Amino acid sequence: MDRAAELFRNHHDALYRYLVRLSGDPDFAADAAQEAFVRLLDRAPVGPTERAWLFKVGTNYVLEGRRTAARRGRLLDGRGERTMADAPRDPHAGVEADERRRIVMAALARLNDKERVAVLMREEGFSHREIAEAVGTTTGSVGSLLARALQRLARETTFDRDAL
Amino acid sequence: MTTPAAAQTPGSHLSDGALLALYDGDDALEASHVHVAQCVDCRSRLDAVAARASAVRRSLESIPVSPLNENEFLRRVRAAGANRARPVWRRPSWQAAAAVIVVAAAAAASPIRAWIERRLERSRAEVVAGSPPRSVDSARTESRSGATVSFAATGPAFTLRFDSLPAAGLLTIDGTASKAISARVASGAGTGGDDFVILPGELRVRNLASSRATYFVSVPSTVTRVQVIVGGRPIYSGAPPAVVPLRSSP
Repeated sequence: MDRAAELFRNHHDALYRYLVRLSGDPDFAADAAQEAFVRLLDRAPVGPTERAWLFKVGTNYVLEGRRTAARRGRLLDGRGERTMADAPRDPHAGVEADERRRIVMAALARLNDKERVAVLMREEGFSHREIAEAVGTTTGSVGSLLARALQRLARETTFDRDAL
Repeated sequence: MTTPAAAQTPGSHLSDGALLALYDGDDALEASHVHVAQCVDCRSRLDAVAARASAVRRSLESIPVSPLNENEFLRRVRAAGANRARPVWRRPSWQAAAAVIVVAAAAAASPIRAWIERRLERSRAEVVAGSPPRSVDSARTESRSGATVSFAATGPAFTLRFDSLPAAGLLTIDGTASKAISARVASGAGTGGDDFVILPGELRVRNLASSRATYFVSVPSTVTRVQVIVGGRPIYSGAPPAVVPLRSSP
């Protein structure tokens, strides 16, 4: 197995899931993942682990793309076109799932960049220290940032409020 | 580095952030565990923090993510990687890039500008040697798709102007220890037709709307501001380094 295939097997699943959630656009997430892999193969990271490095490059690609898209008047809010990377649709069961997805993506979009990156990196198993480095804050304050963001997300995406 | 619970005085309640660090296994401080074990209020809040984290996890799982096509993804990654790894002197248009360096650097010196202009016609014939015949504006120097161009910076500001908003693609702007600006196009996805045209303080990219190419631009530290214009519209302005996606709106 060559290096590219090895990286794909080890990282693409989590990286692509993270980038889809971060961008709301499967095509754009695929572009970001591709760029992260190409750059990792082009020059191996020094210091951070390759996983953290891949996520960092992918994150920068998406966030920069969002700013550019915003300037163009286009918002990456999950309403983008469906592509070959999307899940096949069941026409009879898709409405509720689509509505659920729309609510979650809208709630994610209301977080600021740091909060969104932190929450989604946490979901992929990154430690508070790694998340703090990624969003440019201290380990001591990233817990509070995460706790606030999780509280907002839970409030805006959970129908069973009593459970919270 | 301060750990979440380290800021807590012994016996005081833990913040939600500290409780989340405890829940995530990121706080190994004995004091935090001891406090939560003895504090009904903090145990209750820890349960609430855990419930919120679980609820968010369930919510995020409602976003569908289908697996990428491994073969197609790796094909694109390898194609882009191979292009980047190829030594510059083995690229077919290296001679063109070398000619561009000479022309651009010399053009900055006014005493030899007239001589350069006289020589330009002959140089252009060398630059485009091997390319399909095409019309060439007398004020421009160009290289073919897939090549690297390099030329002297003329000031602190530099503009990258793309003729068309492409279907996809990426522009990466990095710093370099070199004194020259260099630009390279890669992974054009078979669209072809991407040409660089060097102008004073500006690099024009003659691309197609169907292009999915990736562009790499390196600028010296003397260049402190880069503006990117796509299809006549400014989409980026700032200091390097930067990563600027190039993509059509749906």
